[in-house]
Amino acid sequence: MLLGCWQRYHIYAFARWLNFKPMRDYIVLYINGKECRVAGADAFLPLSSYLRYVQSATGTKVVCEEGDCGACTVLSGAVSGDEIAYRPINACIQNVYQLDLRHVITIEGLKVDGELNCVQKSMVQNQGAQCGFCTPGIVVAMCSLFDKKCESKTPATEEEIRDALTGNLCRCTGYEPIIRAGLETNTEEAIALRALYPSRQIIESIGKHKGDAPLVQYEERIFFGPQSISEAVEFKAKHAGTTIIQGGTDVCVQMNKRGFDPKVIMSLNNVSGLNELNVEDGILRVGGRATLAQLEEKVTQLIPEFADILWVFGSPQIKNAGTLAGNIVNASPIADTIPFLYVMDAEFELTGSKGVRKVKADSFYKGYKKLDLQSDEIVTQVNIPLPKKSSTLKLYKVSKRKNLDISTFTAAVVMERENDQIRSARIAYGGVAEVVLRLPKTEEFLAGKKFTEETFVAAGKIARGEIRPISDVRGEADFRLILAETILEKFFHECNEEQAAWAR
Amino acid sequence: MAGKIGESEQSAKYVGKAVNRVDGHSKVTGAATYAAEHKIDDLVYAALIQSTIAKGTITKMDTSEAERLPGVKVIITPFNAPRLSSKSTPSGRSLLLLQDKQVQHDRQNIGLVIADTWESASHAASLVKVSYKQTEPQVEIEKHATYEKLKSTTSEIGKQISAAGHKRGDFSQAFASGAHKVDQIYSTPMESHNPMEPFAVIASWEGEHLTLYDTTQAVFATRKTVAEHFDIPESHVRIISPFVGGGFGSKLSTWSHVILAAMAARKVNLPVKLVLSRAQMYGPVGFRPKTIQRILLAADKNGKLTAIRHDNINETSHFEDYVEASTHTTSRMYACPNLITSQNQVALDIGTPTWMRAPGEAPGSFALESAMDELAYELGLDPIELRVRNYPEKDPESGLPWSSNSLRECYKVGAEKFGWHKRNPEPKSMRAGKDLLGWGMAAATYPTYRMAANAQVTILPSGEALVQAGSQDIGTGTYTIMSQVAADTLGLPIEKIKFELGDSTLPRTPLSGGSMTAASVGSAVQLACQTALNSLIKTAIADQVSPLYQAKAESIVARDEGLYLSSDSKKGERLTDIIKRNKLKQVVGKAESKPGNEDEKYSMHSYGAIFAEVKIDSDLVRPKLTRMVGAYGAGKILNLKTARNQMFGGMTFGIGMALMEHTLIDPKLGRIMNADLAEYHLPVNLDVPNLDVIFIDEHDPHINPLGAKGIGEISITGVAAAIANAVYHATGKRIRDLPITIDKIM
Repeated sequence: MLLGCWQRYHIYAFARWLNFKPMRDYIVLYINGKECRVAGADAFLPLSSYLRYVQSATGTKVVCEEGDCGACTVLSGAVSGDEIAYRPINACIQNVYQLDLRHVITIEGLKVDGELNCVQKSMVQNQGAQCGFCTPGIVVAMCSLFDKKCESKTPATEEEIRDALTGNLCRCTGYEPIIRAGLETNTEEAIALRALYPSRQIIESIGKHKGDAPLVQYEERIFFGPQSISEAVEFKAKHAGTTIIQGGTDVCVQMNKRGFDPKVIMSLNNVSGLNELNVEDGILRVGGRATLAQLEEKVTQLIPEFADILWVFGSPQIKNAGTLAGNIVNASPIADTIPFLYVMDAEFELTGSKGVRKVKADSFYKGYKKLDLQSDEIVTQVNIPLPKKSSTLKLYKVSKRKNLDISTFTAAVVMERENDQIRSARIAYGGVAEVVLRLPKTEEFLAGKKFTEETFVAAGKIARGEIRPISDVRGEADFRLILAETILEKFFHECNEEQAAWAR
Repeated sequence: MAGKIGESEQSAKYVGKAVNRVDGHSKVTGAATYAAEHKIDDLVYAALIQSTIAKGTITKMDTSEAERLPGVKVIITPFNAPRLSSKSTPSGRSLLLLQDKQVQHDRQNIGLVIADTWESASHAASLVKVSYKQTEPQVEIEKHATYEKLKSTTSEIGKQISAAGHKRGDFSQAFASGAHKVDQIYSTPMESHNPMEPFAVIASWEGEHLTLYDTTQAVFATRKTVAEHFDIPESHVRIISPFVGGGFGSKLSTWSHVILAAMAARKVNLPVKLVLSRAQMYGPVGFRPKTIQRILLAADKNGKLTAIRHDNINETSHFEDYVEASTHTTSRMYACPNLITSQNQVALDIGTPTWMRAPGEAPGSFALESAMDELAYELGLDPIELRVRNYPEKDPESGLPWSSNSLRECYKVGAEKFGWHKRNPEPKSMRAGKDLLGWGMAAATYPTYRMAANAQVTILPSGEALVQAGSQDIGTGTYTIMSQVAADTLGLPIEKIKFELGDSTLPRTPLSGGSMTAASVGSAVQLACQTALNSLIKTAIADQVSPLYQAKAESIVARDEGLYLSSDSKKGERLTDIIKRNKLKQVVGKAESKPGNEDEKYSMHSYGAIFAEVKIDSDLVRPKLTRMVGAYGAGKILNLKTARNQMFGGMTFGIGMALMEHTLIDPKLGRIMNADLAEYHLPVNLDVPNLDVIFIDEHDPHINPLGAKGIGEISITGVAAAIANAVYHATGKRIRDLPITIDKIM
């Protein structure tokens, strides 16, 4: 209680300090076209609870509370220029404060003139619902796909439909009727979401609140939504232990399942510029709040190997919310992006009160979830050198279930070679120790060796000695040791096959 | 006689056709109301406290911090819980209801917090500090499941199932002298149902009357169990369950949280809502138990089976015997003169297991159909040929004729569709590009059940009909199928039928399990409709103004919203005219339909053949299912759309069982390690290829008036074996322990 009072005082002091700027003590979001101002306890609820309990909109279902099933899928619309871009997200791991200045469309808001829309019609016609509990989430996710089809009026392909629904579990139908519903959706009838909810009006309305940063509190919890990096750094410097909740795809799971209850929370969602990605001088620069979906789109042409890993990284709902910086700071030893960042020699830009500091990816992790990050610092940019034309990059993710699963083991290998001679190799493994590891001994062994199967068999044995895996629900230590050894052979065979294919 | 579906096929406009779900609209708009979504005034919320150990005694529960939280009304623990003093032992499961301080399994419900909001209740529940005196739990069936050291079956149901089995001829001698033999042990893991909708209940008392909004597969069994626990008449309890977000067997039983919610509601004298989290469902609401099964087969040189032995051991809890009847159908699957089967259990420190989609048949068919594949290789015979050679012309156990049996047709049609003749039987011989290719098959059977059911039909002056039966729709399509049956029987368009279910104040019906709802409730709906029509027919033929005046009742049929002579389609009139003229408020038909002695005359089962194709990545040996064809003889298919759907769903359940589903328990702590959907894997859409289902046109006049056998469970049966057999064909590696994961193939 004491702490609460102290913090309350502190927060008002902070507000006074920022006096030159107006503040609001509520979150503004739009739900199905209607403005909602949310203050106090409700602002800290998961969106799914807010919808179900406060708004009595029970079409959004809660099944897993951790973003694994998609039953709570809603569309989150962010203003982008003079349009609103809608993306499906999981409402169970998205708290209301993360949706400040967003337009949320739920299953209740998808009818057209009170009638079923083209996706809903096809779902009825093709019996896409059985028990019906996953159905609203599936309809919403599918509507997002057909929103993109409004202009071309082209039908969706099976691949597009399956991709769009990777994050939606169904226990009844075996998916076939749902996929068929997608294939038979009449795109001629598809109505764009921006036609259903005219963007201009909402953007104008959002614009009125844009100048005010939200500072919301309830008991000892505080949320701040800065508009610039300097504001963010200042706030973080004043409040040691501030938790940045960006996509929330990890933190909100911890909150729902493990009782994690951060008291001081900040989201960078309204910091302009921080979501940009661009390439300069052979380096891909990824802004601190760029989502994994944005990243995947960007690297599809640039680094297809990384795009493949991002494809299996998670569902569209997760990638639309989660960020690369979040994956980096969450510091899981099985984070799917980290081995890649290690071998590419990526660099993190950390902005703090004293300015910007740069740290190499493979020296950022000091132990299990221990980071070289000061309490006032924020990861504002990730710089990834693009792979050279002369090098071979391969990335691996082994998980129990191929799609939508947490990794058992991950690996990244980048190799330079001249004819039959290996010039250098960089190797990183995940899921084999408390942090992602580089394998210096294996790398040293490979440098200068002949590019043969024997070399990689021998390298595998060395790699095995460089790691210290444990057994857990995702795999036995022995299994990980075998993977660590044999993945290098797989790398060799894949290189060889590609070479043969190229020669043909 | 008015509109009898089995007999007048031409008049059936809906039954047997691909009719859209009548509840489709409410489901695609999110409007369907599930248990937790009923709007009740003055609602308060309960959150469960569960044990964090698997075995021991609770010595203290410190609730002081939790009680101080704003909004907390009461915290119920074993130290202050109201005593439940039932006069008799309540029916249903043995429930742990805070009546003592023993902890008997992980995540046992040991208390609940009631508060103004769900947030406060769950936060307060997390603040309750529990002290235990812990003892080491036993959770490994392998330690106890030796064939010499078995716990004998003690429960009544266990005895019944064991006794129902199965000993014929002289197994030992026949096996000893067999020319070709298989003797292997197979195992299937603990699996969790994971229906999408979590368990949820709203309990509301008015005096001594209790209303429960529950998610259940059995409104009447729930009513009985609840009434018995509170010592009140069944008539004082009402169960409401209009929509159920999947059950798969887990919601057939009334579990402890339902009684606890009612207990809490009585204590605070307000309606209480309790919703379980996903994690809270791993333990106190049942699961499929781990099974260890030994199969011995012997055949002569022609591939004729001479001996079968199938022993099953499954895990159960210390406080209730549950039998996973894996050997149940083994005795009648193949013609074989010498056979023994047995069922046994090992009691462990776990929750009580329960029925999960095709209980018994799903794990049992994995063992038997894998063993048959092994025998086929042993004999050098095609696996279909081996099965055909051992096809039983009549039930080998009872000696009764089959009511119908399309198993050989299933083999033929399924094999053709799959392209089985192109299979090279040699393991590791077929490839698809770099990948190893494997083709496997298995047979499936599931009994046809039926129980007494009631229904009521009310034909209204508007020409619409209200059809009611207690029943449940767990996603299987009860609303739709019953509307079809009623529409055809009454001769009305389906839009004029309103079907109500999921309420214990409606006519009594059986639970939604054993694939019997369509046959049981459908027969009752049909009979109730006929009863209502008969009363209208009586009125019409006594009515001098009616064109049907003095016509013979047998010559009148219902069609086009009226009654007409079957011999003269123009002679007759609309239902509404008869009702209006005779000033009837409504016409009611009530009926009970129950099975006769058909099971004394026929052996009644569904049959199927499943074909699976897997591809195995040559480096990572990850098995990927790429194709599956199932051919089934399941009687009359009442609705092609809902039926295909349910078959796909069942086959997908089988894919999960074969390749990923596994509830993992820490052997030392006895705690479930993957109590969520992140680590308990269900198939995602990319795990499920395009599936193909073929229904054999089967006309079975013996089983029930509709001729329907039920399909909910045969759909999973045999799938795991077909996939395991395909993995063997691809890799030469026989996986006898589910699920089939990379590390086992490596």
